[in-house]
Amino acid sequence: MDAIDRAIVMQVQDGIPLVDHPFMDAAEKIGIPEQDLIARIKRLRNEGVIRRFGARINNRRCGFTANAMVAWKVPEERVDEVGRFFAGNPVVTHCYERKIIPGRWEHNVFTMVHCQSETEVSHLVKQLAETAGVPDFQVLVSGEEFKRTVSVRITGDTEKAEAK
Amino acid sequence: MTGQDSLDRMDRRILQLVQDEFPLLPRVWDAVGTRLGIPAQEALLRVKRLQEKGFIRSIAPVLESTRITTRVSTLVGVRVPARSLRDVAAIISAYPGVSHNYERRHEFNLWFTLSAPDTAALNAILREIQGKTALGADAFLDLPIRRKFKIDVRYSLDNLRGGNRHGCD
Repeated sequence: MDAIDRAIVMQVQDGIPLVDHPFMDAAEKIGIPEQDLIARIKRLRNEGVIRRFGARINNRRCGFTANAMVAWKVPEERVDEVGRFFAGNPVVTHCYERKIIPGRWEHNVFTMVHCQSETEVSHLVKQLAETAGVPDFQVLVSGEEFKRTVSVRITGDTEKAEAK
Repeated sequence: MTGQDSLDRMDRRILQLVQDEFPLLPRVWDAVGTRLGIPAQEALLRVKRLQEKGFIRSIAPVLESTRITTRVSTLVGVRVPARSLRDVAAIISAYPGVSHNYERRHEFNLWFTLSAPDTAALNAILREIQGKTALGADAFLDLPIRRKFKIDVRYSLDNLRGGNRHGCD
């Protein structure tokens, strides 16, 4: 990422303006041609700096009111296979292996699922558990949202603006 | 659109399209409109309304953290007495490194994600939170990531059931 790439990301990371020509608007603010801005965004996407470009949806507002974190106790030798299986389900938005704390927390694979009712969550989790063969899990249904911000963004004083 | 806070079929199709395949083109609304069979101006107006009404948070790049920053992060579960949940949540949310903070129905009933420039700074913040909340170290689970399998926050919107049209939040 060069300085122009960073300027572009900073310009659009909180959302493009909803005007007739949003990319032209952003490009003018940086002082580059619109085509260059679009070409750079595409390049950053192809390089994997931008995972995707599009709308961030407010899931609760759109009807996905039953959201749950599910923590699974997966034997070490099955983490790879099970993690990939969970990741392959479109209803699973996040899937991670996390460190355990022996004796206190031994559920090592975490998934987030988003449904329109808690009944749907139960069915889905039961189905995932049976298909993956992981009977030991905990469902942590989301309650109140105290804070939610975009965690990955470039700030002016980012300690290290480029990892590559 | 059928009403102030409801989604009609075209809204759901637009949501799906701008989430999954937002066109990176100079004339974006022409492209969106063409795909949906509506004029560009209607496409723009609907997207504006969907954002004003809070269905869309923003239209933006989703960045890959490992390519943008070297910050370290963790997920922390906290066991909080129900009566002090809000106070504890407020203490935690006040930290700029906390990006998500949610109540969850579980013995560990508050879960937040925390990032910091490095592990030492992360641990220092965690100790400070433990001190401020006076909950004791055994009320906290510090669970950093070992491996990422997936982050892809997208939803299937064009077949949403009608029962939730009023934005249940």
